[in-house]
Amino acid sequence: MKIVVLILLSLSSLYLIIITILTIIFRPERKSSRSGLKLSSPAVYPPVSILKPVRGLDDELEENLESFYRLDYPVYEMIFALDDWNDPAGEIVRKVADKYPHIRTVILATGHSSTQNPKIHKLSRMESESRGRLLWITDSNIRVEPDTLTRLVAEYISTGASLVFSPILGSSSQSFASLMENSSLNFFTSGNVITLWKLFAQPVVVGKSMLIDRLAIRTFGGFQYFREYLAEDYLIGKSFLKSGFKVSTNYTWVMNISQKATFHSLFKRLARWAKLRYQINRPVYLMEIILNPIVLSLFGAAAFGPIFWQPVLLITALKIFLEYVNFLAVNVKDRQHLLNHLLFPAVVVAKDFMFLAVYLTPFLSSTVDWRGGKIKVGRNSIICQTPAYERFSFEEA
Amino acid sequence: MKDFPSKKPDIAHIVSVHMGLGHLRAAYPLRNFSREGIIIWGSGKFAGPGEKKYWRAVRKIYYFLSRSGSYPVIGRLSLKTILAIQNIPSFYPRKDRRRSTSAVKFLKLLIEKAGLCRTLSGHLSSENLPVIHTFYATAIAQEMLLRRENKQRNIYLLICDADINRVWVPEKPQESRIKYLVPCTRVKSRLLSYGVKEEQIFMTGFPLPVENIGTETGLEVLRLDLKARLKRLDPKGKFFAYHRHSVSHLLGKNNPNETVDDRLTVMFAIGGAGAQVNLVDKIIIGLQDFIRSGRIRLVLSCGVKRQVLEKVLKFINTRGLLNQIGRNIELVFHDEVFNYFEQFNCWLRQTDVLWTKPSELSFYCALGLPVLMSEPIGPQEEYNKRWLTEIHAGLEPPGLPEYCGEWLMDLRDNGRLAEAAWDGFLKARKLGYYKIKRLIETGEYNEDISPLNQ
Repeated sequence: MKIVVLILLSLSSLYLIIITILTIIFRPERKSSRSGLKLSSPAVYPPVSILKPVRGLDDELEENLESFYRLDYPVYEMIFALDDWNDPAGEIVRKVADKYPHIRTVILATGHSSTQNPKIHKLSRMESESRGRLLWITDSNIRVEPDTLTRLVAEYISTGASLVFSPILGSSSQSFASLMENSSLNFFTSGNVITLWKLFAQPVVVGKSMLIDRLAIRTFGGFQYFREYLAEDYLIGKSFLKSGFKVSTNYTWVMNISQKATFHSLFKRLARWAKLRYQINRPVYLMEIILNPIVLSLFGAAAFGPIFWQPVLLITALKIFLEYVNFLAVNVKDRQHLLNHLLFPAVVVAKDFMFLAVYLTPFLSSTVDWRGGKIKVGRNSIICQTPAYERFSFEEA
Repeated sequence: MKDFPSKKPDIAHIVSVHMGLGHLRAAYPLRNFSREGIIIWGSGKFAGPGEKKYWRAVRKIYYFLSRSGSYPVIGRLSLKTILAIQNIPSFYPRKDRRRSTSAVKFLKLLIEKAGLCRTLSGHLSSENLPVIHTFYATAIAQEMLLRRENKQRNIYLLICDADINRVWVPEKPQESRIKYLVPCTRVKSRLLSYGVKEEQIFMTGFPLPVENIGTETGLEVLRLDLKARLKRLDPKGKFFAYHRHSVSHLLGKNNPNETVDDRLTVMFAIGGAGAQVNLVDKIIIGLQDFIRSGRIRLVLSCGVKRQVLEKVLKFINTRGLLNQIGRNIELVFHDEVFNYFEQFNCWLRQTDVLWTKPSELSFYCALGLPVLMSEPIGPQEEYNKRWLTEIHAGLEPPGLPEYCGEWLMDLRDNGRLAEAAWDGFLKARKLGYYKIKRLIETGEYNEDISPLNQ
């Protein structure tokens, strides 16, 4: 048994080392530091519609939105969807849009559907108002560089991919929990996005940024195809692949702004994602514990006694080291603050313990907190509801 | 479904089940008979305690078996076993077949001991409105339960195939009060041989969607579509050389200035279980040049299963035909079954050739659609195929599907497709919806043999 735990720890360490190396190689700054990797601008510019569901005031919302108005891409429009006109985000959206009148902006109030994926509900409405050949879906807490869209479109043109996805750069931490969240995004999420794609050609599509060929999504009958599922990003990627559409990435990062997250908000968000991952693929979810070697080694110590304390220390040191290297390589903004460096070891350990608590949540409940409401999810993240007689889910068949 | 809210009084409750699309498709045209729409027993809130699991299990077995023909050894073996159980004996020699079978006894056991459908009556908003079932188990169960409670209610059972197993009739047919709505003569004869009283059999025809027919006396939609279709199906005029006068007589005179798009539209219906999805790739291979050149438009009816749609898209992508979607390839899909039927019926109006296994869609030949028959699954589909062949509305593919472009054009050029369309229109019953409605509302019933009145 000891050997099994040691093997698991070795595999875990090996995988985390690979993640670290790959995130360094494909770090956000690489385009400027290594000119050989810089992509040339696309020869033709298909019109792009940027679809942005917005709800409430995210950290630095105005700056985030403004970054989309400063893109160096020549033909694009902005489509926003609010729940209702009373949403305080609406005022900021209008303010930013007024500053850039040369970019077509549409603002919609779509209402809120209690029986559908709220994001899909908004995307469907936005799609019907959009004109672009390509649809770029980004969350409201995403900030981008001026050349981000050009690089994504270059990937679309050069590979013929119908879906281009991105790694996520968590940044702008101003609280301990934010630093935890951002390092989790940079190491765990984006590390897996890059590693699984680079080594196994498995796309991990994160909904924070997806560039989609409109023609492809139309063949499914539009975004409504995914309305009954909460993990729409994962399912979009999966359905595209299964349907023979090319999915690709050129590792163009987008920045997720998280400044003032609290432990409570972070836990809720991580628990929601954990529950969705559990419903999507249980065996893979069960294996995720391996990616938490500190906790794994502590289990070993609890089971096999003092002989395991040395591995615990070794593993903890290694994990902190790898995440710190990732932090230095990836998180350009946060690494400029000394406090973040000082807090980082504690952040890693606290995060891994929180991950353990989060890891257990899907075994206790299948209800997720989503935009102020509670939604029960089933297999493949399907939204469970009592079907009326006229509604009939064929998922079961 | 409640898509046409109406203040009209209800005519009947409609009860169906999800066991493939056939039973639901039969119920769909009758959806406005009741304001509460179609009750899909065994799904959603419509099932007794613990009963949903039973229906789900049966459904899973059904879907597995429908697809099992494509799995080696075990799949084919299980398919053969189940087909043997479902077997419909040859009609000849004619004899009395009222003796109960093991399937009938098993169903009775499920109703009596396992409580199948015991809460069905409680879900119906009215206590005396007639109930039209499209699946035998719910109809037989309801009758048994009413009898036990000493209650009376008119129960109709709508038959969805051209021949049926003994299990569609209760153990003691002479005592049964179920009234049968049958699509063709063979089913009537079969029911008589099973011991059903003649006065309980009504030859209404299969209920086709009114949106594809028009009014009962005018058949405006059907005539309009068929006239245009026949022109597309007979570019060389071989069919019209024989049938010009009868076409003019029944459909009205042609407008010489009227132009018709000569692009042939072929619809392939994959089926609810997705059993025939792999055939799509072969059809695409056979038609790809014609699709690219715009001579053929292919409508792929993918049903309600996401896996089917995704597989079809993969085939299209693999053959590099993605840019033809919306031009010469159309996909019919919706994950809500009644929305799917709505789309399907809409596309049928533009379809020239319906390629399908001989399921309940066989009866759609009455809309003047030539039916290309793929491999049947199950004995009832064998009989549907036989029926289609007898009335000359069905054609067996004369070659491999990979070469379907070639033989489809030959069938078109020699007028065979137009002939099949015409024969289906003449010989199959098209007024099922109206005849059922009148029977339920007023008790009136008459059998017509005129092509426009049956």
